[in-house]
Amino acid sequence: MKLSLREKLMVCLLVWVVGIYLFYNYAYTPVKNQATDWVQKNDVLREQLISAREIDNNIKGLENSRQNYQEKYTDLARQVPSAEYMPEVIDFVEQTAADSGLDLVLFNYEKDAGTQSSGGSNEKPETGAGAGSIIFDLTGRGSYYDIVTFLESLQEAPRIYSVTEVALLAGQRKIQMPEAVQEGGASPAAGAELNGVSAFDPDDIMLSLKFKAYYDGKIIPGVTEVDNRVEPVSSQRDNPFAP
Amino acid sequence: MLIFYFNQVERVSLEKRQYHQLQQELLRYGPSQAAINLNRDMKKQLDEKSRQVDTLKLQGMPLTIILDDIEQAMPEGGRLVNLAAADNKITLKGYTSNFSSAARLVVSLQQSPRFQDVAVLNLQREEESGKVMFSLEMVWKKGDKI
Repeated sequence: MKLSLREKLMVCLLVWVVGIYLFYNYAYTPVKNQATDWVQKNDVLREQLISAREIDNNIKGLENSRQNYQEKYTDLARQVPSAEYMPEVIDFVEQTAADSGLDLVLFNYEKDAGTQSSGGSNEKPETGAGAGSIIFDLTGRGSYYDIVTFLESLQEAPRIYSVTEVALLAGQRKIQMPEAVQEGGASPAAGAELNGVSAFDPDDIMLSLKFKAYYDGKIIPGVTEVDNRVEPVSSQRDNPFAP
Repeated sequence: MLIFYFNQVERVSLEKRQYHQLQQELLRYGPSQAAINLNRDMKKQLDEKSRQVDTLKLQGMPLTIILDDIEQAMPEGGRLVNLAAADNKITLKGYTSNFSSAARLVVSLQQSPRFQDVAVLNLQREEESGKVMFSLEMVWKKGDKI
C-alpha cells in the first residue's frame, strides 16, 4: 500500500492523538487519582493526630474526671446495687433494729410478683426506673422513740429503702390500771391521762413494716457496692442439730 | 507528558511513606483515645444511674415526716392506738379527751400541707373512761417528698 505524504502525516497524527489519549486515560489519570486519594487519607490522619496530641496533653484531666465519675458511681451503686444483696439487708436491718432498741420479731423476704412468675434469681421486675425490687416485711416492737429512730436509720441508710406499708399498733401488752401507775409513782400525770384507756401501753408499740429495696443488674469494674459483706460460715460442726 | 506522569508516581510514593509514618505516630496515642472512650462510657452510665436513683428516691413514703406531722397535730390528752398507711392512704385510730379535741385534731391534719381529704370515720365516747375514740382517714400527697 502506497500512502501519500499527506496521508502518512495524517496517520502519524492519529497515532499520536490515540497514544496521548490512551496514556492519559490508562496511565496518567489512575496515578493522579491514586495520589489524590493518598493525600486525602493523610489529611484525615493528620487531623486525628492533632486531636490525639490534644487529648494526650489533657490525659491527667481525663484520669481525674474518670476517678470522679467512679466515686460518684460508687455512691449511686450503694443506693441501688447491681444485685439483691439480701443477706446484707437482713444484717443491716437487724443491726439497725438493735441500735434503735427495736425488738425485731419477724422478718420476711419476698420476691416481687414479676420475679416470682418468671423464676430465676437474676430477673428484675420493672419499677419504672430500670431497676428490680425486692420486698421485705418486718414486725417489731418497741417504744415510739425506738420505732422513729429505726425508721430514721432506715431512711438514712446508704441503700434506698422505700416504705410501702406501715402499721403501728399500741397496746399489745396490757399494763396495770391507773392505781398501779400512781402507786409506782412513775408518771402520775400520764396515769391520770390514761384514765379509762390505760389498758394500752404507749411504750409497747407493734410495728409492722413493708419496704422495698432495689437492684439493677448493672455493674462497672472497681465499684464497691456494699461495705459490710456477710461472710459465709466456716465452722466444722459434726452435728448441725446439736446446739 | 512523561514528566507529569513520573511526578505523580513520585507523589504517590511520597504520600504512601507519609501515611505509614502518620499511622505509626497515631498508634503511640492509642491509649489516649481508649481513655476518652472509657470516660465517655462511664459518664453515660453515671448519668443513667443518677436518673434511676433520683426516680427511686421518690418512691415510698417519708414516714418520719408523716409521723412528725401527726405528732404536731395531736391535741393535749389525746393518743394514738393505731396508725396504718399503705400506698398513700393513712388511717388513724385513738382517743381524745372530748369531741372538741377530736375536731381540733382533724383541723390540724387538714392544715398540714402533706395531707388532704382528712375524713372522720367514727367518733364515739367510751362509757367507762369518758374518752372519745376517733377513727380518721386521710390521703398523703404523694408528690410531697422529703
